[in-house]
Order: sequence, then structure tokens, then C-alpha cells
Amino acid sequence: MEILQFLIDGFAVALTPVNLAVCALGVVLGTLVGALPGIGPTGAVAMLLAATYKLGPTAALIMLAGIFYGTQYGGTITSVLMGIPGESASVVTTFDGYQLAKKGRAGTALGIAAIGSFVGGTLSVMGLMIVGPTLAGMALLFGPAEYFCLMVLALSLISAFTGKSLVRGLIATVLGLLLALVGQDVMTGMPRFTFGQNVLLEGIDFLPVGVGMFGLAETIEGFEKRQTMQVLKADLRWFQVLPSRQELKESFGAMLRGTGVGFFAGLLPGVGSTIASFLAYGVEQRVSKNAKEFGHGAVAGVAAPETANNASSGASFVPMLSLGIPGGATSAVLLGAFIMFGLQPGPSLFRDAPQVVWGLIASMYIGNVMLLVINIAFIPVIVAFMDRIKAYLPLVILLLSVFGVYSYRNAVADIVIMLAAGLLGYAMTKLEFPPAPVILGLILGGMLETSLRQALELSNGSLTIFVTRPIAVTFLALAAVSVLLAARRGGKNDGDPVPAEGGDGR
Amino acid sequence: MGFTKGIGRYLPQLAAAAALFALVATVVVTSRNMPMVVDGGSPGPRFMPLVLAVVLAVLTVWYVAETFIKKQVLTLPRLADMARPAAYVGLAVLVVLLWERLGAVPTVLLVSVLELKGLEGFGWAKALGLAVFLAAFTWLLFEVVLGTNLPLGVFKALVY
Repeated sequence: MEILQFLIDGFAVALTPVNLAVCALGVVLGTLVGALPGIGPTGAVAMLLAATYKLGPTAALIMLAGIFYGTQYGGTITSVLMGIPGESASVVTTFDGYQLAKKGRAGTALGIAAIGSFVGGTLSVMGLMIVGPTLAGMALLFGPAEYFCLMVLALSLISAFTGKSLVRGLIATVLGLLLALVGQDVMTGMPRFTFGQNVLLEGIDFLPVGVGMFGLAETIEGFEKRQTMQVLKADLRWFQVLPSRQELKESFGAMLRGTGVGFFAGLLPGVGSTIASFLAYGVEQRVSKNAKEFGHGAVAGVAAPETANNASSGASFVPMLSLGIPGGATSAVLLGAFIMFGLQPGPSLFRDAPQVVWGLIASMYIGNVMLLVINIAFIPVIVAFMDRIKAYLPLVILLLSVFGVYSYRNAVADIVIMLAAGLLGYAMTKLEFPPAPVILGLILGGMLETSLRQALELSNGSLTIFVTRPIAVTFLALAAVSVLLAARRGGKNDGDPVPAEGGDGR
Repeated sequence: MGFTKGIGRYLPQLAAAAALFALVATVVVTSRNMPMVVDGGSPGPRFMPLVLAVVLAVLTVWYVAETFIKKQVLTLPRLADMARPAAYVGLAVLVVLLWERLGAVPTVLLVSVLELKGLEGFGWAKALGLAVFLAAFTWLLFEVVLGTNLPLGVFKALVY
């Protein structure tokens, strides 16, 4: 009952004209970002983060969250109409969605995807509502040792399940942790790795690094690959996009199973929407009576992954809000947004900032309804817009990146860091290192070190504190298991890429 | 010759490993004057950098070993394919150099014309028209609506 009251208060916040407007803007932008290859949700959220600062925490977070889950809807459009995933979580949708479009059933594919996304998104928000506060309550028992081990677990999962190999994921994580060391030592005030530059005394902020690694780097790669966008012609008026009763019946089970798979996948840091969509597709293929249709235009082959990727993005808010642990690169940037506004995600967030948290949760219900309407009724408009804007996208991304990053601290040094991060991100992609663990390491690095040093101070320097406390040792054991599983996967499947949340294959 | 050719296939990974070892050395050397332990015996500012440096060194050895054991050959882009990305990066560098000297609006104008004309191949009229639109739009959005203090550059003398 208490949760219901919080939710009602949340709707009171979310239904104000300003918050409704920013929610609408966020989901529309998210749809466009998802639809356009060349920019992923992480880059988009990072670029717009500084620009939304003046809106205040609630409105800004509503808009940025809208972009995040909106991309899961938008990515379907290019997957179905062009066979090119708009973002990594829509890769699986190309298997059957594009085949359906080639058979003249693009409307069916898009309609089923939109409804599946709505079902997954809405049910996952309900899950967030129930699981989030419960987990936050449990996390109040955590001390520095538990927090350190929890962050080790999160970083292990991200490293283990992202990219082509475990060792490259781990190296990327350590790079991020090293970047987090730049600046003044929190405990002694001593400058570290500033090389005499005053501008580095405040440390390297995640924003320019995130924009560079996920905005600029993707655009540089786009220039190299010269990806062309050829859209299949299709009648996409709203009555063509609405699925028939038979099609809904075929996909109903897939949507429910996709929601379950997606939600549990989303709870785990590092797993993310992309893996969730692959898992859901695999599950659906196994249970289907018409498994042979998969890959040739199976409606369930679109419904399952689309439901799962939206369920996963909603579920990723659970560890972020209740534990302060981001699930992937985009939620890491969102976590950074909370910190920017002086809010510390974690167990105390539900208690200290209930209007922000419940306003955000309520806005996600509203945002999913908006997205369903947009993706059923306005597909032709979105497709026409995509066709117009694709030539200007690299310039728009460059300008938005520069302005966005400069707006944050009015420092040219941030633009330099962004450019350096962009080049690093591009080099990492060429060398098949995943960039997502870098941003996670950068965001969690400070907290990780502080927790470690506090825990060792409490235990008079003894490492046994990490193995004698039950919750801490459980997290460490899970971290070890995830690393071992990843090492085993790497041994069996040599270099099968596991795309990370946040953009094309990252 | 054959041995060199064999190693040559892994040049990108070896270069990456060299860069990582250089980073390890930088961390160890630059942190040598920081205390490892502070008052009360708790870990000092050098503790975490050293731990990470050791971990990174071990991981880099593992990375090199994995490269050779699994014979992972990378396909890097051809030099010809790098012209446009390099030009785009050059534009970004130009933004950094001109941002405060020239001012935000003139920089956007110049970079937009160069990108639209040089990289996207638009005609002069379209490139100039779009550049003016983008300069005005970004100024309006960031300076007027969002209240960011954009650098005036050459216009500073006019204002002050």
C-alpha cells in the first residue's frame, strides 16, 4: 500500500506540464537516436546531460531516462526497414523483422515490436517499483567492505560479458579505474597524476569521456565504414502497423517470456539489453512449435527480443537506483547525472529524494504509453525525418558534443578530454577492446577506492574483512564465478562478440 | 624473415601492449613520491595506483599470450579509408584551437562550412546556408535558452 501511495505522489510530479513535455521530448529523441545508426543511447544521454542541467534534477532525469528507454523502441525501425540495427539491442530484430519487411509485412513487424516494447517496458517498471525499494532496504546493511565487493562484482560482470574477450574487458576496466585516480586524493588531498596541470586537480569527469567514447568515436567509425541507409518502401500508416488478432495471439506468449528473461537479465550489471534480446530469442526458438520459421520472418522472433530489450532497460534502473551500481554504459552516465545533481543513488535515495525517484518511475509509465503511440501512429514521419537528417548527423553530433561538454564547466580542457577520449574509443574499437568498462571504471573508481581504504582502516589493514563478512564474501564469490564462466566461454567460442549496451556493438 | 613476418601479423596488438606497459611504468614512476601508508596504518594515495599497475601488467601479459595462442589477427582499415575519419578528427581539433580565440559562433560557422562542403560534398550555397542556420540555432539554444556563457572570441572587443 505504501508503494502505491509513493507511486501516486510520483504521478503528481510526472504529470506537471514541464515534466510531461520533457518526457515527450526525451522519448522522441530516444526514438530518433535508436533509429539512427551512428549515435547510441550512451552518447546521446552524455551529450544532452550538460544541456539539461538547468531543468533541475527531476525534469532532467525524466528526459534522459526517456532517451534511454526510447532508443529500445527506435532501434527497431532501422532493423526492420533496412536490416541495419539502429543500436546493439536491435541486432536480433533484424533476423526476422527484416525478413518480414521483405515479404511486405513491415507494418506487422513494427506493430508487434511496438506493442512488445510497451509490454516489456511497462511490466519492468512495475518490477522496478516492487524490487527497487526492497533492495534499497537490504543495502542499508552494507558497510564499506560490502560496497567494495559489490562494485568488484559489478565491474567483473561488465568485463566478463562485454566484448570479445575477458582479458580485454578487464584491461578496459582497469583503464577506467586508472582514469578515476587522476585528481586530488580524497583522503589526503594529495594531487595524483595531474602532471602540474591545475585543470586536472578536479579529476577527469565522466561526461567528456562518455561523449567522446560513445558519441565521437562512433561517428569517426561511421566515416570509416561509409554506412549507407537504404530504406525498404512500405505502407506504414497506422492501420497497417496495428497487428491482427491472430498475430497478437502468436506473440502473446513470446512477449511474456521476453519480459521475464529481459527483466532478470537487466538486473545484472553487465548483461544489458543486447544480451537480454539474444537470450529471449534463443528461449523463444527453443519453445516454439514453429522453430524453423525463425530467421525467415517469425512474428515471435520479433516479439521476444523487442520485449526483452525494453524489459531489460527498465530493470537496469533497479541496481542503479537502489544500490548505486550501473548496469551498463548508459545507466553509468545516468548515474553520473544523479551525482551531478548532488543525489547519491543507493539505499538512501528512496528515502532522501522520493519525489525524484517516484517521479522518474511514474514518468516511465507515461513514457511507455507515449512511445507506443509514436511508434504506431508516426512511423512514416520518423522514417522521413531519418532520411533527411542522415547527411547532417556527423556535424550535428560534433557540435552537440562540443556544446554539451563545454556547457558543463565552461572549460576548453573538457573539449580536449572529449577529443582524446574519442580517439581512444575509436582505437579501442579497432583493437576489439570494449569501451563500456572504461566509463564504468571511471564512474565507480572513486567509490571503489574509498570503500577499499575505509574497509582496510576498519580492519586495521587486514584483508580478512572481505572474507569474514557473509554479504561481502558472497559478492566476491559471484565475481569469481562470472570471471570463470567468461574465461570458459572465451575458451569455447573464440572471439564471438558480445555487443555491449550503449550503441552499435559497444 | 618468416619469424618477423609471423610477429608482424600481430603488430597492432603488440603496439597496444607496449602502450599498456608504458602506462604501467608511468603510474609506478609518477607515484613513487606518494606514501603507501598514512597515519594509523591505513592505505595511502599510492596504494590503489600500485595495485592497478600490477594488475594491468599481469593482464597485458595475458593479452599478449592470448593473441599468440589464439592467433588473433586484426583487420585494420586501409589508409585510404582513413582519409575522411582523419578529416573529421581534424575538424574537431580545429574546434579546440579556435573555440576561445575566434569565439563559439564563428567557429561553428567555419567548421560547419568545412564539414558540409569538404566532407559531405554539398554546394557552397547549401553549405553556407546550413552553417548560418546551425550557428544561429546553437547560439540561441545554448546561450539564450540554456544560459551557457559561450566564448565571445573576436567579439570580446565589441562587447567590452
